[in-house]
Amino acid sequence: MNPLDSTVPETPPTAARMGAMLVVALLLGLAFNTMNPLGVRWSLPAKDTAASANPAANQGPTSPRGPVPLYNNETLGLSLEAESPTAARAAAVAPVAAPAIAPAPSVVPSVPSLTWPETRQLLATGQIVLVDARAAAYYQTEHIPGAISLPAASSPADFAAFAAKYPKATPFVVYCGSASCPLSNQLVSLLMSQYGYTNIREMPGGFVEYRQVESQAAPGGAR
Amino acid sequence: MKITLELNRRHLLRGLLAIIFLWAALSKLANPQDFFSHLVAYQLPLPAGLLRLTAVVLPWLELCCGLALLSGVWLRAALAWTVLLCGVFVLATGQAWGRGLEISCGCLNLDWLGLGGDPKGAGVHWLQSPGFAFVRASLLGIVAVYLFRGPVRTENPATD
Repeated sequence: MNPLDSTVPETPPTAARMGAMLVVALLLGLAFNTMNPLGVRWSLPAKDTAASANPAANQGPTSPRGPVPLYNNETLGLSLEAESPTAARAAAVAPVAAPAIAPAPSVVPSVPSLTWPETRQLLATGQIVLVDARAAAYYQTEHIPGAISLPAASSPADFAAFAAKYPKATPFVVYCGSASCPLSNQLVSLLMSQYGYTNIREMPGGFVEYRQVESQAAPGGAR
Repeated sequence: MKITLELNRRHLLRGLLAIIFLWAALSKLANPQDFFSHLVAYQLPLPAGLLRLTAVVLPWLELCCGLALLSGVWLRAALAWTVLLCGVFVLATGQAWGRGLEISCGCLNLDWLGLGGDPKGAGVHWLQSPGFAFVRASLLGIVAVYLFRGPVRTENPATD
């Protein structure tokens, strides 16, 4: 044995240190995720938790195959379902004429704000239609159970279809990702100024607030 | 004892990489679920379980890399990870850019700069678009490769 071996410390190979870094990151990540109310959920959410999370939704129009879709655009992932009696009533009303082209949003109007607990109560009693303003991909990942998707960047045709299904007096609550997300403001502005909707409220805390309050709830989603 | 501070180009580039990686890590750690949503929005052909694990581990790996780059400890391993991660970022953002996905890259939190979204209506600021993220990841990858291929201090066993 070379006597120098005991005096010169051996440097671990880079690969070993890379592995050690990965293990440290893995352990810290798992521990942090477990303690974090905004952590990633490991259990796969139900395909559609709207009916179970919203009792009022069970009173909506259904078929043996489930809720009757009011509007579906597979290309954009836009799917509107009668998930509450309010939505069902809205669907039963004659379609409303919509502008042919969705213009750019104008000045954001001032609308009442709701917290998630307030929204949850209204949603459970079927008094509102909850609208997710985020892009369809985010909605498909996870969304508040009972919410419908109307991305703020939807095409004019999608907005026209939406306007045709919901009368102008339909009470909406619009939410986005978080307080810093501008999409709910944009959608509210569009719906009020260009499509004449008058009964719109906003949930500024968005999906983040929902996750913080309902830390144990299983959000709706497709993945 | 005389302490000399050698501040050259390599140190500056290393510091830049470290700051960006620490910024990226803290942005993701602030809301892991949001980061997971960003990952899903990339529409990568990967199982959801792997994406969830990535959302949990990646921010901490970026944090480890950032701290190692900043301190000089385990520098070669940190640079190797940086090269690998930049390569993954280039592939992910590149395919999203090529497919025209209008998503946020989920890389850096720009809210505190007032750049969290595009007030003009697109919803995603161009600084967070896949195209810009692709260019940024490519440049960072080139810097990481340059640093990895160069000489690394060996006087301290802990610093490769």
